[in-house]
Amino acid sequence: MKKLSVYTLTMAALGYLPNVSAQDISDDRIYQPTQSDIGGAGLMQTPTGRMNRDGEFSVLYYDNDEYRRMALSLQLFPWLESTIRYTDVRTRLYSDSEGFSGDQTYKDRGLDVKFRLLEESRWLPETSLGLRDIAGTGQFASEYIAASKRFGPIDVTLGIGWGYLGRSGNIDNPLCDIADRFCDRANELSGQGGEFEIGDWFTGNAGVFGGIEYQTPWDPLIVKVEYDANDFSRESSRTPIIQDSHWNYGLHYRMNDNVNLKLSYERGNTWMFGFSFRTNFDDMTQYKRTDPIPAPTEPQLTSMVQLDTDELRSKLRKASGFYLKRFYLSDNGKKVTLVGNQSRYRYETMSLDRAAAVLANYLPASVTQYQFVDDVLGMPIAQVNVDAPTFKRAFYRADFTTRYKDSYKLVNVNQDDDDQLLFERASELGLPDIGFRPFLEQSFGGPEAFYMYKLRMDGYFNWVPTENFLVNGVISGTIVDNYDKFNYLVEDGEAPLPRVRTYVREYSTQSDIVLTRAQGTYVKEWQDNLYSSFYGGYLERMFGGIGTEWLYRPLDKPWAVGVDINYARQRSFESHLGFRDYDVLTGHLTGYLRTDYFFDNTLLTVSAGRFLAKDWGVNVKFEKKFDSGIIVGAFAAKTNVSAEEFGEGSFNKGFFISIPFDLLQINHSTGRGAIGWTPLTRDGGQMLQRAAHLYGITDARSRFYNEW
Amino acid sequence: MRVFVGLLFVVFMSVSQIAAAQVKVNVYLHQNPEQPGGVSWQKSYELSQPERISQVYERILSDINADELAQINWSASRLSSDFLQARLERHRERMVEQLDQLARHWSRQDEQQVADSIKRLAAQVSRWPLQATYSFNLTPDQTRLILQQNPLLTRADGRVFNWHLYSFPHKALTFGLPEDLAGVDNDFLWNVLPNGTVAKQPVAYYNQRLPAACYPHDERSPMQTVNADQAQRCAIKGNLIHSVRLLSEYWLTDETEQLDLELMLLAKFILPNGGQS
Repeated sequence: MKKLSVYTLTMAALGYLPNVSAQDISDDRIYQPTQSDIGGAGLMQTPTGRMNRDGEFSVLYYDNDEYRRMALSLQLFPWLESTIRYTDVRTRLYSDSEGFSGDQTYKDRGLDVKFRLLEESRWLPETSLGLRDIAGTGQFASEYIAASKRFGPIDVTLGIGWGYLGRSGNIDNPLCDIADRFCDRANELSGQGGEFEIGDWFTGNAGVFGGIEYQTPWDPLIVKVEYDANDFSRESSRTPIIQDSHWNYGLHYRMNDNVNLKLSYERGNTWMFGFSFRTNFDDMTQYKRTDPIPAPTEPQLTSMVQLDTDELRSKLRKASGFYLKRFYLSDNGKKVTLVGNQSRYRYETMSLDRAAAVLANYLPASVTQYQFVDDVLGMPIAQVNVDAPTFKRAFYRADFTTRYKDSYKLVNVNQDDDDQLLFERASELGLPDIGFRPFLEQSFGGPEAFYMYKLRMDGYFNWVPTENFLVNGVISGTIVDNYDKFNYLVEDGEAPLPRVRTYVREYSTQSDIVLTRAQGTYVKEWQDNLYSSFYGGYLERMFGGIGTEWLYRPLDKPWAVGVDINYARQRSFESHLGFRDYDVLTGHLTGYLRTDYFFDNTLLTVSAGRFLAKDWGVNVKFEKKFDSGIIVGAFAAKTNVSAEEFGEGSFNKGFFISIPFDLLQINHSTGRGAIGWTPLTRDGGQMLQRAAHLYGITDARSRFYNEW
Repeated sequence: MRVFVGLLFVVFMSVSQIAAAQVKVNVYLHQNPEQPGGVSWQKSYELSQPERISQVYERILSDINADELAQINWSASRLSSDFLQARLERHRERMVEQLDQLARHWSRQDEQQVADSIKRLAAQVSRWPLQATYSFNLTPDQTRLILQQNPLLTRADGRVFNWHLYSFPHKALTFGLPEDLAGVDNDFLWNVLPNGTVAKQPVAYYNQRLPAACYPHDERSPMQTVNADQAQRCAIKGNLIHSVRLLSEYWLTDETEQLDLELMLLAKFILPNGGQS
C-alpha cells in the first residue's frame, strides 16, 4: 500500500474534499443531524438520539476557557456512530515535570460509540444508546440513552445520562432499583486508561437532559436550546467551573454543504465557539478523465495469420491500460488468452470493457472467447473469460437487454492443452522504477508537543529483475521537523518488555538520511489457491530479517487463511545498515473473512501468534469499505502482557483510513494512501510492518481493495 | 449515420449466432387524455431483418401526418415486447398472490381491517393498466446519435414489439390505498419519476424534508427486482408520472418485507393517466 503525499495529507487535514464546491445548502442537508461540542450528533454538551447517514464524516473543533476539543466522528453503519477525540485541558500541564513536557497542556484522548436502538416513526422517537470516553482515562466517561422526535422544524430530544453526563443527579438512578451495584460509581479515573471499565457503566448519579433544535426559516441557521445535567464542580480542568445555569443556548450556521460554524452561550456565563467540516465517504466522487469505450468497427483481421502482436499490445495498452505479457491461441483458433495486468482503473470492469472492445474490433469473428489472466509478479492470480458473442451483443447493442458484464466470468486460471504461444514479452533485466515524493510523518498527543512532524523527501525504487522477484525500497531524507523536541528517553532497565517500538525517539532523531526499507520478495503460486512469498532485507524502519508467508485463498470465496514466520533483528537507530542485539522469531496464523453477510463491504482479519516483543496473543483488524472506495479500519492486539506491563493504553490499538488515489486526482489509479492513528505506541502486541503481503497481491481472487 | 448503422448491422450479423428472424412492430398513437388506452392511429410493421429503433422511427415518420407527429411527446413513449409484457404479467400474478397470502395472515391475526385494506390493494393491482417498457426516455434524436441507445429489435427480446406514443400532457395521479385505511403507510409516498426512477418519498410531519430513497430504472433489465439496500438518495424536483400509496412496513411479514418495492416494479409501468381508463 502506498502512502499519501504531503499534498494529500494536507488537503485531507484541511477538510478539502473533492465535492466542496457548492455555495448553497443542498436540500438533503437541511435536517441533517448536527455535531455537539464534544463530537458526534448532538445538541451542545449533550447527545441526541440522532444518527447520520452511514459514511458521514465530521471533523470538529470547539473551544472554551477550559477545554479545546478536536474530534473526528464517523457514521460507520446506519446504526453505529463512532467518535475519537482529543481534549486539550487548557488549565492543566501535561505533567508535573517541566523537563518532560515543558509548558504543554494536558491532552485527554477519548473514544465514543453510539448505537441506534430504534428508528423514528410516526409515534416513536429515534432512540440511541451511547458510551462516551470508553477505553480512555475515564475523565469524561458517560453512558446515556437519548430519544429524538421531530415535529416539523423542531427536533426535541430527551435523554438520561450516567457518569459525566449525569453528575448533577437530578433523578435517582433507575437501575439502582434493579441492583445495588448500580448505585455507586466506583471509578472516576481508570488506572492505565485503554481498558473498558464495564463495571462502571450506568452506575452512580443519573441525570435527565434534553433540548430542542429549531431549523429556522432561513435554511443555514439552526437554533439550539439544551438542558445539561452535568455538574461541573469536579472537572478534569482542576479549576472551579462555575455553573450559573443548566440551560445552554447555541447557534449552528451552515456556511455550505461542508462547513459549519457554531457559537454557544453555556452554563449561564460562558461563550464558546467552534466549527466543523463534513463530508460523506459514500458520496465522495471526483471528476474523471476517462477515455470512452472504443466505437464498434468491422474486425480488422479476417484471419489470425494477419495478427500483429505489437499493434494489438499497443491498442490494448492505450484503450484499457492492459499490459500484455503473453498471448496464446487455442481451441482451433476460437480462444485467445491474454496474460498480463492493468493498473489504470480501480474498477476492473472499466479495463475489461475497453480491452474486450479492442479485441472485438481487431480479432477475426472466428474467435469466440477472450481469456484475460491477471498476472501479478509472474503469478497468475485469476482469469476472466469473456464470451465474445455475448460481449458483441452488448457492444453493438444488438438487443435491449444484454450488458457487458453478462459476458464476463471469473474462473481459476486454466491452461488449454493446445495453447499456442503467439507472443511473449522478452525477459530483460530492466532498470528499476525510481522516483521521489514528499512525505509527511506526523503524530498527535505526544508529551513534548501535541503535534510532532517530519517532512521528508523519499527516494523510492521498485525493481523486478526477474518474474516473481520484486525488490523495493525507500531512502528518506529529512527536510524539516520538530523532532528536536523529543527529550524523554526511557532507560532499557525501566521497560518491562523488550523495546521494540518505544525507541521511536531514537530512530527519529539520530540520522537525517535513513534507509526506510529495502526488501527483496520472491513470490510463487504452487497450485490453484495456494501462494507463497519469501522475503528478506531491511523490512521496515526498526527491523530487518527474513521470512516467508503462505496463503490459501480459494477463488471468489469470502475467506482465506495464511501463515507467516519471520526471523527479525532490530535495526540500529540511525537506520543505515547496522543492527542491534535484539532478535526475535515472530509469526502469525491469519484468517481473513469477508463479513459482507452481516455488514456490507467489510473484512475481518484475525492473526494469532508471536509478536515482536516475544509476547503471544491475537491481533484483530476490521475494515469497512465505503461506496467511494475509502476504507476505514481499526485494529487491536491483546497478548499475554498484562495491562501494567503494557503501560498506558493497556493494549495495542489503532485506527486508519485508506483513501484511493483516484478520489484525489482526475486520472484513474489503482493506488491507495493511508493515514493512521495510534493513540499510544507501546511495545506489546506489535507486528512486523513488512511490505508485499500476499492478501493484497492476490486481491483479484475476490476483490476488496479494488473493485470488480 | 445510416451507413454506419448499416455497417454495424452487417458486422453483427456476420458474427452473431442468432439468425435473422422476423419480428413485428405495432405502433399505437394515443391522443385522448380521457381515454389513454384508446388508440387514434396505429400501424404494424413486419421486419424481415432486425432493425434498430431509429430505422423504425424513420418508417413512422413517413407514415404519420405532420400535425400528429408534431404533438407526440416522444420522451413519454413506451416501447415493449411480448416477452417483456409477459414477464410483467407474471410478476403481477405473483404480487396478487402474495397480497392475498398477506391478507389471510392478518385475517388470522384478527387484524381484519388491515386484511381488508390488503385485499383492496390486491384487487387494484390486478386491475392496474400496465404497459411495460424498456426505456422511459426514448427520444428518436438520441437513438440516431448514440448507438448504445439504439438497440436492434430482434427475436432475442420478443416476436412482437409494441410502441405506444402519447400526444397529451400527463396528470400525476395517485394510485394505491386511500390515506384513511388501516395499514396504509402515510409516512412515505412512492413516486415514479419521468425517467422511470422509483422514489420512496418521506411525507409525514416528522420526515417530509428528508431526502427520498430512489431506485433507478435500468432499461437493460427493466423487470429486475432490486433490494432496499440498493437505494440512492435523491431530491424530488419537477414532474412525476404518478404516485402510489402502499402498505406500512409494520404490516409486512418477513416473507413480504420487500413487497412495497416489488409492487412498485409493477406500478411504474401504469399507463400515463391510466387511472382514468
